[in-house]
Amino acid sequence: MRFLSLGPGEVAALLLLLLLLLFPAAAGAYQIRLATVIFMWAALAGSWNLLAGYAGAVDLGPVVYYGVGAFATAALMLRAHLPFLVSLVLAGGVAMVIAYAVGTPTLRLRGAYFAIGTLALAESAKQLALAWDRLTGIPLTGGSAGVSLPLSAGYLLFYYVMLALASLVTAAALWLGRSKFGYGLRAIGENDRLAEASGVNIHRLKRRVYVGSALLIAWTGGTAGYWLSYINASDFFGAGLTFQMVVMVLLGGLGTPFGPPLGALFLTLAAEILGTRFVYHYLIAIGVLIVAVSLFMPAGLAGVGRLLRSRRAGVQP
Amino acid sequence: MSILEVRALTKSFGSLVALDRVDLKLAEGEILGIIGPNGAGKSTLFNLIAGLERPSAGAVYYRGAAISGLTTDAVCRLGITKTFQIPQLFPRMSVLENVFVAGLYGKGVSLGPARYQAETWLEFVGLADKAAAAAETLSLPERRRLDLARVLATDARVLLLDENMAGLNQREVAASVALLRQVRDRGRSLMVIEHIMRAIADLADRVLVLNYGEKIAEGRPRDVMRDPAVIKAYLGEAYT
Amino acid sequence: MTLLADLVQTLINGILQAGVYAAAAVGLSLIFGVSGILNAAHGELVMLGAFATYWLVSAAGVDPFLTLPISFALLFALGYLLQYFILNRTLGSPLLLSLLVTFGISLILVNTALRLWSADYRLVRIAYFERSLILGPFIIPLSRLVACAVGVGMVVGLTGLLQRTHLGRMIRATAQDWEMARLLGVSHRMIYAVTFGLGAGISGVAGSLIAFYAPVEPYMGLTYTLFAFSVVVLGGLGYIPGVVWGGLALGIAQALTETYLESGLSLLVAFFLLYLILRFMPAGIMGKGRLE
Repeated sequence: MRFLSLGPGEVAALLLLLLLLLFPAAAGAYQIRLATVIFMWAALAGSWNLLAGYAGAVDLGPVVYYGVGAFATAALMLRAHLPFLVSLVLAGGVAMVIAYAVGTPTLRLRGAYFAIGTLALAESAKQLALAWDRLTGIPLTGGSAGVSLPLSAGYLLFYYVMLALASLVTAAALWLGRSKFGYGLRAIGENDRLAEASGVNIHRLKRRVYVGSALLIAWTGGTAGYWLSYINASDFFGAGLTFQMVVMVLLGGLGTPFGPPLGALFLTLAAEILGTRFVYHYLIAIGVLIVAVSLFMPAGLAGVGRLLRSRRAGVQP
Repeated sequence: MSILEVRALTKSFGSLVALDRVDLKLAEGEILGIIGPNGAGKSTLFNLIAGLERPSAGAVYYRGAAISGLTTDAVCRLGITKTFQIPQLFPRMSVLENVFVAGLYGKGVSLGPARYQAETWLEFVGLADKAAAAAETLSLPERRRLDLARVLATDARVLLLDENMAGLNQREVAASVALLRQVRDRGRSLMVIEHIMRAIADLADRVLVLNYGEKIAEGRPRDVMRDPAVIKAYLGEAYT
Repeated sequence: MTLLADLVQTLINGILQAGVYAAAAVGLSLIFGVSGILNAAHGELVMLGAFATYWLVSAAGVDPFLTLPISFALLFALGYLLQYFILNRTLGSPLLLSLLVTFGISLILVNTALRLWSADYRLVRIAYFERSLILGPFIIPLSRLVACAVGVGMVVGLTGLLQRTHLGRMIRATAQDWEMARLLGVSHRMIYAVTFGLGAGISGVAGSLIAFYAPVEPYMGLTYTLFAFSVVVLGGLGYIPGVVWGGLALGIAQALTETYLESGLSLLVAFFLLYLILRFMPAGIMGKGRLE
């Protein structure tokens, strides 16, 4: 049993976390904002990885919970006048309830059917959010005009919240790598019929990780909404966000704990350097990158590191 | 009391009746051979018992309690599980992890004991030296033994083995028969689908013959294989 | 107009749309059915076909009907090359891989189109299409009638090709079992490339048909990818004639929504219908799709 003993990767991650906690003291506003963006993507990509990388379910609709988190947080702040962090926690609860209700039937779809079904769900959610205020008469999403939030107190709060979320997601992935739950998910991902025949309750396990990842995504969405102080349904439910998560996970390494943050770091920096000046070129390059990584480096950036210590294969409970 | 009982079990796919009102009993510690030509409904029978498919009519009882309608994983945790005709594995997990997962979830033990028990079962089926290898690198006979180790690790009391000897050579078949006898000695009851008649005759206490979804004979291997109805069903099919 | 006339006109609109949807989706169904690739760049092929027609008509003055075969040939070539050089490398890998690779391809195509042609909405002006058939109280725009007819024609043509020609038999054999095809001396890689080419070509022509009556822009692809998924799933994944039924279901559902609810909801209806069918009738409305 090694629950309390840490591997070298975990120790390095803890040291890095310590440095990042102190980072704002040494950095300027621009660096802090950039780091916040990286944490946000690390949290999102990492949450997607929990389901896709471990349970093998390719969810093309994680933005549902990003949007729900953002709009629920905003509504609780604007209508109920609750403080941001309280609203955020409650919005996470809303997302979990929705994820439980939606996940139960949706997770019965397999393979391609699950991917298409979740993409359809996300687009349905976007259209519903755009039409919500007109349809129900309850002001929530502001239709295509969106919702504005009061400008917030500064950027440090967001730095630490996003850092906490990214750390939480990474810790969850590390836990999956060595827990019974994680082994069950991996078994489902590799061969769901066999997992079921070996006693794994595949629907319950998948639903748990789906709801858990929805919670983390909703918290990230709620934080992002307040940070940007403007939310609209087209952006917050947009398929583009999903695609970014997928790309970062693939680039970093699917099914690895440190792959998503690596992918987030790499792509955010690449976007920062190339993106503002060459928008279309940048996206074309991303497309080329996805094709190239998928075909020639399927284990991602983290896979390169893993190759170096592949001697340590085997069960490590 | 029999550990497993099947009453009037029926499965139809549209107008095709794959299994027609089959009754059977499996005694504790018994090895029951299931034989019959291709398409006789043998695998369907296993799938219905193990919960992979729902019966159209009839019921399955485990230790006197009806279990039809339960999901595969629940049936497995209760004590019945099957191997697959084409041996299945978790390809990118190690051989040990394949067995380990079955112990974690099928038997419901925690990480430490599951690992220890997985090692024990690998030793039992003779795969201990492959424990760290990726499961997808195993040969077919090894995959069959891994499948057996996996179902043993779930701690199921009733094992349904679907052609666990197909593709093995004579020596491997003999080893497999000996291994399955040891499995029975460890308190398991077995139902075995097999095409290799000599292996069935050696191994099974009793044989049940299916043809076109119906049970046409049942009894001691020697008697059943002399049954004219059985010979007729097999006419034209070579058997060894 | 009376209530009944209203309903009939709505159904006509839905049926006219259905033919185009069937054509825009059949390529997706064909490619998935034969090579097991779920093509996330499908809508971009439709978009490129639409642009081909737009540029040929407005810049080169080509007759719109003549652009159809050109659009087919261009997209066939693109599809063939994509499959031959890129997608064939994903054979035998999990579904996720081909989904991701085609997604990467879609990003390349969309953003190249944006770079070349900007995000402007463009309309093809075709004088002799700006007329409508008037049947009593009902209006049938000529451009839509033509688009529907050509669309259905392509689906029928493809079905015939698969059933009756030597190429079709080879494609079907490869779809059944590519190793068997290889034993018969057919290069499955070449068959996959031809299949992708055919699917892409038909999608391109569908795009050209859409350009006859709707604006053309680089982002239109994603919508058609989703429409095509909806149609294919409604009709039954892998069951090619199902796209006609899927197209009808989607077209009519959307037309009814636009008339009786609100036009903004037609996408919601489309995607929710897709979800419901996937969940509850996974073999499609005709029950003939391939189940996983």
